[in-house]
Amino acid sequence: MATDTIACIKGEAWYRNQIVHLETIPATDAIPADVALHPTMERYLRAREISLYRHQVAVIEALRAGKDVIITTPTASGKTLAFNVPIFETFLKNENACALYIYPLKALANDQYDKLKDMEEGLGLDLHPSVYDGDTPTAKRARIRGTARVILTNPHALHYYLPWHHQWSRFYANLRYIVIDEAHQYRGVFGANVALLLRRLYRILARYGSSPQIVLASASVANPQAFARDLTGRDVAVVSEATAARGERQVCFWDALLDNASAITTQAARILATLSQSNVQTLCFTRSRVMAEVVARRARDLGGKDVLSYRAGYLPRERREIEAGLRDGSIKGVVSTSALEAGIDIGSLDAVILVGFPGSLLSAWQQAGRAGRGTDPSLIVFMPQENPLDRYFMHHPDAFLGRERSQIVIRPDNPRIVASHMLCAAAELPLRDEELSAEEKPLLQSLVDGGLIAATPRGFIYRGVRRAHELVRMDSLVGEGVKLLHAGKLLETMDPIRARRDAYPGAVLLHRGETYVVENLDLENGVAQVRQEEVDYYTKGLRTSTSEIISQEETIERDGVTVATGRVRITESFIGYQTMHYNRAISVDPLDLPPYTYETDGLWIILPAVIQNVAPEALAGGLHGAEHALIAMAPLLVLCDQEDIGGVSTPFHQQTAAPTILIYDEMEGGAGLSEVLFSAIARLAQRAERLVADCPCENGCPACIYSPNCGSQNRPLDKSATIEILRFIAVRLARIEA
Amino acid sequence: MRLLSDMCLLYGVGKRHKSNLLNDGYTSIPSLVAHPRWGDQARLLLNEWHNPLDVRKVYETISRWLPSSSPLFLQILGLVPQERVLFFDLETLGLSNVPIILAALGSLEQGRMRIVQYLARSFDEEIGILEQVGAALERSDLLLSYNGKSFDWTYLRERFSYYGLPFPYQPMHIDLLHHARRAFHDLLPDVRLGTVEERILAVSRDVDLPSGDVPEYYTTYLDTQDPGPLVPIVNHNRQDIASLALLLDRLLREPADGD
Repeated sequence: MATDTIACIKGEAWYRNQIVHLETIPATDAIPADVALHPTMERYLRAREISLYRHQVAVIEALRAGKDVIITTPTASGKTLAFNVPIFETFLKNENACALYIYPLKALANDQYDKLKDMEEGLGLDLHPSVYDGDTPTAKRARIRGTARVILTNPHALHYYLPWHHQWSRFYANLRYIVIDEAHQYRGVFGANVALLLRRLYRILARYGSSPQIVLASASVANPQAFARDLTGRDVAVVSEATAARGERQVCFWDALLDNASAITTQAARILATLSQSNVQTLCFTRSRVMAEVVARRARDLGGKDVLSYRAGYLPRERREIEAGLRDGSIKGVVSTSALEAGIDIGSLDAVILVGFPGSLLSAWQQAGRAGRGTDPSLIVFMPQENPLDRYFMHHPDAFLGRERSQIVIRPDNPRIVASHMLCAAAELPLRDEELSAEEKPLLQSLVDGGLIAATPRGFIYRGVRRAHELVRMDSLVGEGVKLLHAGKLLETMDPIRARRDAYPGAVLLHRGETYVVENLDLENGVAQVRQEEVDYYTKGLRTSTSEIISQEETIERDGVTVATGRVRITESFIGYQTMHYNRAISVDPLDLPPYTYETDGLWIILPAVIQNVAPEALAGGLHGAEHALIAMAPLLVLCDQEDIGGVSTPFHQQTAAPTILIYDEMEGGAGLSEVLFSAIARLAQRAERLVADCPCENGCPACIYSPNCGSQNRPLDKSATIEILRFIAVRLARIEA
Repeated sequence: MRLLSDMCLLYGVGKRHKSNLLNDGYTSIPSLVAHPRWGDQARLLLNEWHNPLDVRKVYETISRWLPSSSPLFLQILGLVPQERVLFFDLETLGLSNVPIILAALGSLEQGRMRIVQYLARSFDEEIGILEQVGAALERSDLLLSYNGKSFDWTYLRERFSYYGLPFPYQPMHIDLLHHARRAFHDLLPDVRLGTVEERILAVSRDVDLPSGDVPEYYTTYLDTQDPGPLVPIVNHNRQDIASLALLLDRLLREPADGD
């Protein structure tokens, strides 16, 4: 099929030889395995003609042996069934046993409910599986808490339910399993918050005498065991070997730049239209909602049959119709943001188009994994955009195909996050001294001194006047951010630093695909007023950062290159903003905002004052370019967005007294990213060097050293000095890895 | 017994049936004993309630079929020995998951009310309050409160579970807020206890502390160790309980609803 389809595309009048690389991933056979099952389960699976693969049996056996498990096999390999079999067997044997399923998003819980309900009915069980979250009607809540043996929820909601544990006593006392699905979504601040939420859940469960087994399901990551330990605090067994059958897959690298007369969206729409007309059911992923709408509309205009767009903002009913249409084949093409990446049951399709690299290889392969129905052949079209990481893959298909796995890091010891969860924990049950680690004790003392916690003979108790649980938000560092208000309604909450960067007065910002203009920003009261307005310009903040090294933890030194990691203090100043019209600055306005200073984790590279082939006047531009390239390649090694990492570079750093590139976790307290990058610095430098050296541009471009997040208008930049500096670093550090 | 006048307490009898029955000359549950359709139900209920008199059964039947503001609840009072009736009111540091700092318990003694207040001089003593309230609950069958069903009772239960103390108490509970709303909502802009005191009970508080200020006053006391700010808290809490008794008396003298 895939070969015919490619021939068909190549035959189109608009084809401009954009397919620059074609790779065939051969089919793999299933590896079945046998395991003795509960007779009812056996009948259930046989009636549905389901046989188990070896990785599924591995999960079943690990859970039966009482272990905690993380399963990281690819999309559509039957992860959910693998853990549901032993969990439901427990239900068959124990009429009180309960299980808690935690999903990162409400929509996922609703989708998975149907699966659990189906298994419950198929096995003749009576478990009252129920979704319990902010949408659950009050009238139903008590009954669910009183009778449901399977509850599906999300971390945001669970956070608010924990203090009411006595209402959940039956469920908690009988809880045997906690399932954490889509676990890879718990990274960064969200991950740290969820990790601490789980610790709070454990101590409540201990009160009710239970200690459930933990099951995590995740996309594949480089460090599943360490990640699971950071998230759950448990040592888990890893099941990562994929033993499901897969058909042959063709991966097609499409260089949209080769047709400079058509936008990448137009090219994607053409492919989608052609595929849908040939009855090749296709899912096209874009980076933004607006882009999804544009591609879908264009594909329909070009004669695409039954092509729709899909996004998280649609009503549940609309989404369900699309999902059902994909399953039954009546819809031939859907254009979606990452909302359809995983979790939602849409079955498998014939082809997937990736318009732009979705930020991480993990996401890319989750999305690509949607292609391939059973053992049928399938097609993946990857269309890199014009930015560094995308272009790197264009030039290095192996880096994409080899699926270099990135690490996923969370830092559950970020003091700000720990402190806020301490308050919640102390409001849920008195906190006992022996529950605290040596690092946590001084933190607790500061809360006692601050009048939020009181020491009593029964333990430390929460005594703040405001509800502890309102001081914490799962997806941000602190509960109290800046509220973006539109006509009195809350659009979103931003961290104080993001607000300075993105919500300054005059800023144009996007929220759920709509455009807003910020009218004013009141940092004191944490409020920004915005108005909705369609404008034909956008804005870019101008800022400068200074860095101060506070402490140095580790260093590597090789032939004049020193790399170190430790704590840094970053001060960001917000000096003004540019109004941009079609990539041209039409005005510059000053801003009067107080600078923001915070401590975080960083790594810095100290270079000699003179580097071969780098003219003194090119040094600053070279360091700046190297900083951008290193940051651009970071998502290859550690799961993060480019905006999660910041950088400063200077030919003379006050403290090191030498040319220095410093990159840091762009978040108060740190997120653990710099630590991972430090340990992989040689690889990072080598990839950054290839990125820049392989770029055909002359003086630097958005595909190599220009950064959309640069606060100083991408000035100065010097491409050849950048290459020399990165090479200098890479060559010297390569000796470490060797 | 007035309790037996509401035929809605029978399984299957709603407002429509009741008005038909009234038209047919049936006026109470005992009058239905010979009724061809409802006779069995009526005999069953009378037997359950009276053989011997089981107040809790009566309470549960009313709770199942009638709203919590039904005047029949007030009739329960007459069936419970006076010494097993407990008025209660809590002062807390916030709306949830923070300490209780003061509890007032009121009991009836020969037509008079005796109010006992338990104050936490520091957060250590919250446990002591819980123990005292627990002991009083042990001795009581019926609770009277103002907004206690949604606030004080839930709060108390939550604090017991916070400290891991057993909470076996299941008293009958009459929340006078619901009754005040039924009886006076036409006459008052709102049914906060202060409003009811002022407009209905003719109680005037000289300088009353708004409930919302309790946490701040208490925190000031803790910080300064000056007991001054405790005085208005204690007075406020005591008056709340005293007003409960006045309100109850007033409600019992309301003419029965003529529905």
